[in-house]
Amino acid sequence: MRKQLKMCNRTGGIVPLGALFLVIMVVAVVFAVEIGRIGIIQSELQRAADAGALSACWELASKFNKAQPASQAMASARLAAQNVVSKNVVRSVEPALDANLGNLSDGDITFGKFNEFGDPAAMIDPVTTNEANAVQVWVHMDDVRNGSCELGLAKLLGFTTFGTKATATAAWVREIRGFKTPSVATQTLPILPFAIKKTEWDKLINGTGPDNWTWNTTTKTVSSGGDGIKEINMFPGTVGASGNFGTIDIGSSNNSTNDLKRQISQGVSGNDLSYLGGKFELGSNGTLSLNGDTGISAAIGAELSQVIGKPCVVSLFTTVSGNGNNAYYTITKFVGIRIVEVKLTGNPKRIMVQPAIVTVNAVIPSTTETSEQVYSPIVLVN
Amino acid sequence: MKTNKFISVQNLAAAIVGAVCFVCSAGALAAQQASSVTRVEEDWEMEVISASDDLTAPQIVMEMSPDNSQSGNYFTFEINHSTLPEFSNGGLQVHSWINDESHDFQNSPTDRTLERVRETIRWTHVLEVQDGSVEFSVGPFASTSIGNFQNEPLLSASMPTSQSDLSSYSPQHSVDKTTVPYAQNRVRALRLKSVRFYSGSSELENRVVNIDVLAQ
Repeated sequence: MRKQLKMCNRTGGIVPLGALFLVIMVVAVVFAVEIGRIGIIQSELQRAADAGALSACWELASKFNKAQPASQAMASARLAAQNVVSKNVVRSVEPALDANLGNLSDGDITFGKFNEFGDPAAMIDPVTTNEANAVQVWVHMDDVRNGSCELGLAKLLGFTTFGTKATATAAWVREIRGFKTPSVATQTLPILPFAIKKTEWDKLINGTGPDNWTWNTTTKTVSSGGDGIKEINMFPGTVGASGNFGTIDIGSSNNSTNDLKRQISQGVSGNDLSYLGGKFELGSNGTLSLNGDTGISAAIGAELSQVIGKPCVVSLFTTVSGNGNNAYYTITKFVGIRIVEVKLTGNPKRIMVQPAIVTVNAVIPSTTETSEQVYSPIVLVN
Repeated sequence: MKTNKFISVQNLAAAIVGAVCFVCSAGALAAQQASSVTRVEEDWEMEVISASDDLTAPQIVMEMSPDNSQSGNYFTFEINHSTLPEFSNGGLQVHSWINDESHDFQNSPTDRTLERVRETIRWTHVLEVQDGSVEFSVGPFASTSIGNFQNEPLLSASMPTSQSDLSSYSPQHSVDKTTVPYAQNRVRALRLKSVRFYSGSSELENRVVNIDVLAQ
């Protein structure tokens, strides 16, 4: 009996304990709800920062490719970032970005140089010149800008607001010193097995040459008529011109016409690069010696016609030496081109090309001027 | 006064020389007109090193024109490849072009390719105008790789012409337009050895020129 009474007495002790547990449970639920809310806010901020950095970087690259001065290109890129970020609403707020006209390293929009691709902790080096290849964006949701986020149930606990911010950096490789084997085995690189003498390319870039063809960016077709971009004939029409153009062995030293045809129509494969140690890359002295033959074979006319309009990479060389099977090209640079005309009958024959922007995935970055208009895709680097 | 006399003697000498030159050139012109050139033969020689069968290398394109291509009309001769109606490895092909449009072409009876480490090839181009037509032919042609063709002509192509003679022909045009568009590094020399001018069947001149096109 005494034992039963004792048990009844203990029944009343659960009330304060239950109340305590209830409070703890409520606090836990509040924290869980608010942490979830904060997580959503943080991911929305990150999405806005990513979108802002990518859009600004695209705009910057696009303006640079149109040879706009850095100040104008960066002004356009700032507007692009501000516009895109504002459209990425965070908890019903359209985030605003400060223009950061002084290009401070901790500003909302910062332009800079970025070379440490693959290192997520690397920072950009702020610059306001056309050397820039990266844009860093900070999106604030705090007392600095856009206001802190209002908390909900946490107000019950005395917490009313929460400040946070997110950052993203987008960049592209502007200078490349070579190409590596693509990560996907079936992927190929848009590299043509041709080399142009650097002095001839420089003349083209400086305005020498005809302008008889136009690349239509909308229809993605080539048509007759000038577009303000000069052209050069890669097919040597005279004995003297033969030394200005060459066909290089990117791959086996026993390259055949069929290998050349495949590389033109399908691109350079990982297997081709395996003969060069997996990389088609300038050495530490800035050069690469490759076996080849002067001029271009008329056997590849059909394959060249297939790739009219497609942006491709060709190599520039400074010298060619040796005869017979021992002709070697000294490659010093990679440039982007587009074939606009192929006529391999009659005399002289023509393979007309004009400078073009080429985007290649498997590039090896360079810190010196070893390429023109050959870029990596724009990517988020941190 | 002495100076004046000296000048007048100089002028007199110059006048005499000028008159002699004029008479000579007029005579040459008259002789040319009397026996107009209707046929020209060019003897060519090429030294090939390390030809590649796999790459169809080297590829050689020769050109000959009755009027230095002033009218846009010319003949081409492709060695070790052919481009009409589409590209083919090896062999030989001649074409006639009117305003840069193909008018006529003929293939050699063989499509064998250059494949020797070293060989010297010799052949002759013939350009002849007759009865409102100009014909370009090749033969004889001697190559260890491609074959020996001693019959004349081996290949030919023709086109209509308003020219009655080949007075506008220039061997320099043939030299300037000849090219090795692919694998010139595999050709040691490409020489125009001699040019013969005919009027009908009569040889007017045999000019030894020995111009190495690759050394130009």
